[in-house]
Amino acid sequence: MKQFAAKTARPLPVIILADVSGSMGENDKIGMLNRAIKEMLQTFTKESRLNAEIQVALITFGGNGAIAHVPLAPAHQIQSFQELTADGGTPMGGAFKEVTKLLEDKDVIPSRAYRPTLVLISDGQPDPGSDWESALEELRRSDRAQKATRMAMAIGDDADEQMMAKFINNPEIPLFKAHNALDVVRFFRAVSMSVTSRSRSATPNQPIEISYEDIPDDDLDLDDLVFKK
Amino acid sequence: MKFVTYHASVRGPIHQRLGQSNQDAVLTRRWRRQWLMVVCDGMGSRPYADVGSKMACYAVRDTVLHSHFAISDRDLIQAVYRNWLDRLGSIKPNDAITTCLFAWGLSTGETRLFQLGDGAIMYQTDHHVRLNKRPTQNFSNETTGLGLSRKYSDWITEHIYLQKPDQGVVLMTDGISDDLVGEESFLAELQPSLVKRSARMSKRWLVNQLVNWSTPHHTDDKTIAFIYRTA
Repeated sequence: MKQFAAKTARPLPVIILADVSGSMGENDKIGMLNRAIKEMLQTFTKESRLNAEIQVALITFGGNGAIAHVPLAPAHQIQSFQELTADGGTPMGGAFKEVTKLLEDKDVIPSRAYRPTLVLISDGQPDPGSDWESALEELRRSDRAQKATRMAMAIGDDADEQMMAKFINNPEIPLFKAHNALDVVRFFRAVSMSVTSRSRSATPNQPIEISYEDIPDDDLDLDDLVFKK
Repeated sequence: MKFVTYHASVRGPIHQRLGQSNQDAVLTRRWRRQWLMVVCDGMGSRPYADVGSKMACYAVRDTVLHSHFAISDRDLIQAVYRNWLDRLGSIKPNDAITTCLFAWGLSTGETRLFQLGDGAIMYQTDHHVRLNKRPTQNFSNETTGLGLSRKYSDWITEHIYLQKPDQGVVLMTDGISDDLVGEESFLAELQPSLVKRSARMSKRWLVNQLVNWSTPHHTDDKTIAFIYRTA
């Protein structure tokens, strides 16, 4: 019977929707985002060989529109990625369309995959022309895409928190508000903990409740990097 | 006509690690004029998943023993559900949710198939057929079952006829079916592997195949039941 057993573990996809608009260049928010994503990938690489194969995709939205910066791949196979740079507007609607398309693609995310996690990061208002409202509605109505756990981090005071709160679909995982560089790192640690806990769980489809206060601070001396205009 | 059955159920690695019981259950019976195979998978997040799956096997057995083979699908399913609820006693159905797959056949080869929830029923008549595919909008471990669904329309049923030797039916939980590739030839390969061994050795072989399942990081309990016609 061995020849009939799939040779790959069941995937647990994590898809990051990252704002790379021009404003992300202020106070080096983009630099901190790069650092936090790298740390998350390292954590996943250590954990990705447990009960599921953690897979990661990075969709960016900025001056180049919404693009798959890192296509969905097992975390342990993503050795590095081209660092994100900040430029242009905030075509968030395009990112919602891109991720809905990805989640609907059963060849890329098969039905044996565990429920995906979507992570939205933004520091501003979505471009009105990006049609974000209808794109978000399409995501929320899609048979498959709506099942993904959606988390979000609003960076700084200019982020559209009301809009980002609409993105979230689990009251136990509230909108995270990052006011400084350390918060960005802490948020990604929370995402990592949530995903790796699921990958170790007997019921990987159950979302893990997140208490952002419980995420330990570390030795990074970043408290003084406050995200203000 | 003669039918031969095999079955095996093993605890998944994660339940072994956590010291939890096997939440799948299996039952096979052959009587003089009819036979039955039941495979159930208790929903892992529920506290009485193991009880729910065992009681479902017994509920199906009791129901078919007290039913005429011509009973309608709807009446049979209702009777199974009622029997399962009775057996649960004070346990809330929502705490004991389980899938329920069964095949009920006559010695003539006439066979009825029933499926609620994930897992798979495959049969070999003149062609290989899988009773259903997982709804494509679903992800792994998303299922319905007794205790969750009260809708007749959530059941998949089929009436088939095993009219030639070597034709058969296999039932399996999603611990196997979700990680199965090349399923079109699965039954054709499984049967000779079992038939060439003695009853005791074939059982041991089947258990061994499930324990040593080669999908990386597999976690689920695994249960399979197989019947085929010999003549």
